[in-house]
Amino acid sequence: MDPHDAFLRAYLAIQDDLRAFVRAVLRDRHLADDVLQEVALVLWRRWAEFDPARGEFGAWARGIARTEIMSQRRRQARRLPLLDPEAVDALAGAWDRLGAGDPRLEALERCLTTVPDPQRRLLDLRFADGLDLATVAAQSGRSVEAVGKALQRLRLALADCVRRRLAGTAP
Amino acid sequence: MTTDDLVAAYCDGRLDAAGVAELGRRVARDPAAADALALACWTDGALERVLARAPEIAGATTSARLRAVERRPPRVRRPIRARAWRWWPLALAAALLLAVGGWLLDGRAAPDAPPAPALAEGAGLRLDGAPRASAPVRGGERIAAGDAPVALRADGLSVTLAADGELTVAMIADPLRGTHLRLDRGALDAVVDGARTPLPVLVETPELRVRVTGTRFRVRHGAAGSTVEVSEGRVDAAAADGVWRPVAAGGSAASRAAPAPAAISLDPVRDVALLQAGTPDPARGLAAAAARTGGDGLLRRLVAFEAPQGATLGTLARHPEVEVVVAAGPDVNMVQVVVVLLEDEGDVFRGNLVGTAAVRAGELQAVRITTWQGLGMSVPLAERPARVRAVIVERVQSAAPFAVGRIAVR
Repeated sequence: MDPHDAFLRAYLAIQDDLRAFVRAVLRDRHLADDVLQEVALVLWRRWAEFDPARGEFGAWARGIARTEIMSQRRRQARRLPLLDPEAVDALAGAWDRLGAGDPRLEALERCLTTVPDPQRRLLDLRFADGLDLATVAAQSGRSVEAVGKALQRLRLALADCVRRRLAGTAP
Repeated sequence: MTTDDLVAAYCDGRLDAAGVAELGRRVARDPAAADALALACWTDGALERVLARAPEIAGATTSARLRAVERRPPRVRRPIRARAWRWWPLALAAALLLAVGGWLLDGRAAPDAPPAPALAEGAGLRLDGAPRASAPVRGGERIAAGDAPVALRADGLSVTLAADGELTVAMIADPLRGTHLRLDRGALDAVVDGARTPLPVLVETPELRVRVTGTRFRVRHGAAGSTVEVSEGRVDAAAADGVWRPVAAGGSAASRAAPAPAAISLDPVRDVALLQAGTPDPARGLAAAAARTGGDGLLRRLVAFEAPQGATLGTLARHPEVEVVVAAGPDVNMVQVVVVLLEDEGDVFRGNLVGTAAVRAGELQAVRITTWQGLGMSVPLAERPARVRAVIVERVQSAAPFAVGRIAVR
């Protein structure tokens, strides 16, 4: 396969997860997208160095993303508190253990169908419409704390549902 | 605070500096805490992806219920002025190719290419020369050369737009689809250093697409059609049939101009379902989408255009531009105009984002989205037997109303 095609295929497979990882650390969508663009360039330049025998492409990409994240960290930290480098490393390790990918995403989609309407509306406001917590709270007539708690419970419930689906124990 | 509480607050942006530091300490020393944070962050990202894409409209049977739209006369392409190219004496051959029409490949000797401009450092695309010396170029920007050629340079990419030429920069170094240039008029020469440009470069005219990863070539577009001549390396080129064919150094390809598609103009009041919460328009088959707004006054998606049954992605792809005029009040943070091609896969529709633009608060402005942005490596629309379903205007970051003044698909 042409190296570029091979790279593109590998990159497209992990791009969404990589973006989620970068955003998890930088906590800013636009900055994360900028960083991701730089990371993509670096990944391509170093594509020849990638050895599948030594690990998954996603983990390798996160390692490279970490370097770029750190260079952006100082700038972003002035606006928003960020995790320490040690925590970022631990998060990257946890991401490797998570096993993100299509099966997990498909499981989440299935689990979403079981979410009752009121909770689903909260998810829509927060994640589809991209509203911050205060706006979601205002629109749903609840306190910020109540919405935060509700979303926390939803995250945990969805995570549990995904885990059971992946384990084959969910209905 | 439990770790779960810290994680949730972190995800929601409610954790102060001390809280982030505490979470960081726990994550660094406790794998279970790191796992919890990774899972929560992944879930948030996945929820955005899953919930923000188009299938919300999937529940609605999108039969063509929108009324027939106004037809406008075909757009008239301006003919290019005749110009003598000392180093490209193949205009006659190209004209002959075009006269035969359709898609032709040959193995003629490569033309003498112009000297390659030096490549500037930096991934960003910059304009080098009149009218703006060394100025950064933004995605969506239209560049017109006057009496003198204009050079565009980026890391690994050098493009010289010939005098009298016009091009639109659709996308610059997009991680997914690379750099897209649309040649609107005239000729351009491009040098692509594949070792320095990781992502593809796509040069497009209405009837020809040229995909490269490292070569030197020239594309010309005029009233009769388009040609590509390859000096070094290899390009892949696709004509209206959408089939990519390799063109090696010394070869060329031509594609004749197809009749311009009729422009489509929509009156938002008359043709568009403004889906205010609680007032869904079942006649347009969008009740499910409207119901999702949940009575909160939040207009999440506005389906502005539904293609006639049987229209293919390639049909909309031939319309190079979607224009939406949007007025946003001062309390609107941002209106995002998104053009989505919804593919019909039985009962499920998959959304393909092909263009997006933002409107700033308090402004009335036209947003133009070039639909061919979606014709990149990763979305070979012409190769997919799917149907165009909708153009979607999406508002984000605000619950306040906005108005759509005009929508046109050209």
